[in-house]
Amino acid sequence: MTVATRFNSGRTGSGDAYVSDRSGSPHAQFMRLTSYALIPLGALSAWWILGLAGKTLEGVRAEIGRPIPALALLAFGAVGMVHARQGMDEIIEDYVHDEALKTRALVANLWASRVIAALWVVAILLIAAPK
Amino acid sequence: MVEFALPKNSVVGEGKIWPKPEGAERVRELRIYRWNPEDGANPRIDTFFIDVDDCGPMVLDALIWIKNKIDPALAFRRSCREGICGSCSMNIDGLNTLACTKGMDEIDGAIKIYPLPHMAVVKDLVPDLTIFYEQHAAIQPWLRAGPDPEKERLQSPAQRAKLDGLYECILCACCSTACPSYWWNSDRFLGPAALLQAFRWVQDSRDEATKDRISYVDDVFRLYRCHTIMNCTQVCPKSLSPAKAIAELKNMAIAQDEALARRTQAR
Amino acid sequence: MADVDTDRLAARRPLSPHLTIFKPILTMMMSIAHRITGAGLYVGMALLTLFLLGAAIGGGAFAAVSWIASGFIGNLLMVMIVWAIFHHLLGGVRHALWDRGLYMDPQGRELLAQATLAGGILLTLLLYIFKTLAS
Repeated sequence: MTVATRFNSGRTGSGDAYVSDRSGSPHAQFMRLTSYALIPLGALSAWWILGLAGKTLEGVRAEIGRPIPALALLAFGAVGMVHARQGMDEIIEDYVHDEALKTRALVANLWASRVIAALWVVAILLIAAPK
Repeated sequence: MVEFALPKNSVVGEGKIWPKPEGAERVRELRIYRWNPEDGANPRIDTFFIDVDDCGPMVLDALIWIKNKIDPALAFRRSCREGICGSCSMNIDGLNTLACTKGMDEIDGAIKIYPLPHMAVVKDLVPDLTIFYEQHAAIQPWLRAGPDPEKERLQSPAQRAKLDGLYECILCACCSTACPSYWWNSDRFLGPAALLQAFRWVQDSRDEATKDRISYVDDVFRLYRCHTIMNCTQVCPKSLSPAKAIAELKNMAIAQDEALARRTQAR
Repeated sequence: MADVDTDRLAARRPLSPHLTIFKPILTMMMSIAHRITGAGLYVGMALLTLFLLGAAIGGGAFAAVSWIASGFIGNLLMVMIVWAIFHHLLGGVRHALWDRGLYMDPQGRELLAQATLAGGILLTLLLYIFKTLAS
């Protein structure tokens, strides 16, 4: 049940308040679950990401071309970008109040995160797949 | 976009420096936010000096001293002067608190006083709390239970103890107006004070609307704009923990949502 | 009172100062840092994806993106990304503890905020030292 609260005050002016009526729980729970997965994945990936610094092409391929780093980085990229998309959604909802702009930003975020995740997976598969 | 900077009419300028009290041996400097709705000018910071030996120890004592002896036009809310009415909440030395329980000796240097942050200012240190009170009303802060019983609704000591740390809230608005998330989204986010009260009624063994109360707050904005920034709990002058109440509300909302999803699947 | 134009009066009201006057307490700063590192990692992942694509294709493509992980800028970028991962990860652990109502007392809050800040830097430093020793 919802209390219809009319605001008529100060800067906000009159209008209906508290109008989203979209449960936040599935979103919050999903965020928590991806976070748990990212604790080991992030810590492991940090090791190999730092290992990329200053490497030659052969060095890079040797660093992450083995099964264990490749698999860990694959999972990190995929889960990480889902998590990143959700986090960026929160930032957009916090700061962007213009409804049209907000919708566009949320869609742009969805696709940006998907493209990054897809290219990340493709790149690692190309490097690590047995020739 | 959210305005991180102040709107043009709100930019604060330098104000008047009032003369030091005559014959005072020890003086203390206070820098106070002023805005007068009648002169059409922007807000400004006035500098006052008080005679420490003639004034009580609390910030509220200094404000009253200034109003009595220097500028009777200085506007601020106050009533009980002992931390129970919640009227004299303001931003002192960068943190929201009650002027009556904040000792001047707790602060180094000039005492900077602003109204509660990110609020519409009525005059000087008096903010417009209309939205804040409507948020409190929105969570229905009363017992919601079936028809009046024959005799009183009994509560065991253990059930009563669950309300400790919740019922003491004096609605001073220090917590809500300390919360950056509330600054940006106060038209949709209920804010820590209202959520603490929502949890207070969820915890009440006599209340029968628990599920309904949780569904009401379970919303991307009403509850989940809380990002656990902790400012609410850091500033609460009654040492309550709205952050903890919100954390428990989130857990309850998630549990209720998952139970609902399981029932829908089973069908 | 009916004659008073309250709406017009209300519209003139200034907004009280907020970010600029609020004391920068550590827990709040760590919350802001959590958001900045999160958004930064989004960009970091995009850059890393470019780099990995270059490495996957090889030849000229790798030459075009090798700046992301080598030279002064590249090294700095990698260290920043690793620090952001650790800082954000520890921030997540802090949130997970607080979600369970743990460490919410004044000392606990301060401890967790300090641990996030120090832990992120320390883990990055340790990793850097191990990595340098290993290669």
